[in-house]
Amino acid sequence: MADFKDEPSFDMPIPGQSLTTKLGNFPWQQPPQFSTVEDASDWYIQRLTDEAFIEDIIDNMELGIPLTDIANALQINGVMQGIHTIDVGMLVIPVIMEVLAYMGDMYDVDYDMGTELAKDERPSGSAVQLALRKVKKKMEKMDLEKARMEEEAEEPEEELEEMPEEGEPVMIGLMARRV
Amino acid sequence: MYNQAYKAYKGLPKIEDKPKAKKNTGLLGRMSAPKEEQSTPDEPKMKVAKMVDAIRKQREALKNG
Repeated sequence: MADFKDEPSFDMPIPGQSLTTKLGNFPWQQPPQFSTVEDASDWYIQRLTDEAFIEDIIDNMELGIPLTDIANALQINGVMQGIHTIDVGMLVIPVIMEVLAYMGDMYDVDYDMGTELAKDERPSGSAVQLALRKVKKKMEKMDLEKARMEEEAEEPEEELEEMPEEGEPVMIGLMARRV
Repeated sequence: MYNQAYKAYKGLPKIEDKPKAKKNTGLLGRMSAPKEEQSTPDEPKMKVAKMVDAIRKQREALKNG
């Protein structure tokens, strides 16, 4: 979120400043180290199963950080280091998550996969109120229509025009005999 | 956050085990098995799904002892 302060800050980069530096200065502007999903996932599996790394991962899992967030942070870091592209990163996420879950099971950690409906995806209170108001309006409209239909049904039917008797066919043509 | 990890995990295609073809043992049964259709190389998404499926099976085996 943007942090709005009372006083303007002049220490921040101006819009478009990043485009003024030479292209290729950052690792993610260079060709990636691994261009396929297999290579990238092998690299992650090797790194995740490294003993120096396991402790940190397990600590994070025990803290209750969802595996989705851990996997996402890892792949973003990979993109920033120029290890793979962001497309490969997106594809590798499920593999990282599954490896993390495997490690969690191996070390008997109670982890959160993060695949349940996130809090921010649940409708907010205001959204529920808005939906309820809409439903109320619709119901009122429907009641009005129903009342109108009932009124129309109660009105007496207009008298039908007298129908001629069946026995005498009425001649209405130009050449018909007048009675 | 935009929950890209959640979407990537949930959006994986499902891997279904192919049922094994029954071998005809009758007199009129075909002697040699029909040739399998030439498979095209998997899309990256499918490759990932297979890898995830393999790891998941190992994880379940670990869980179940």
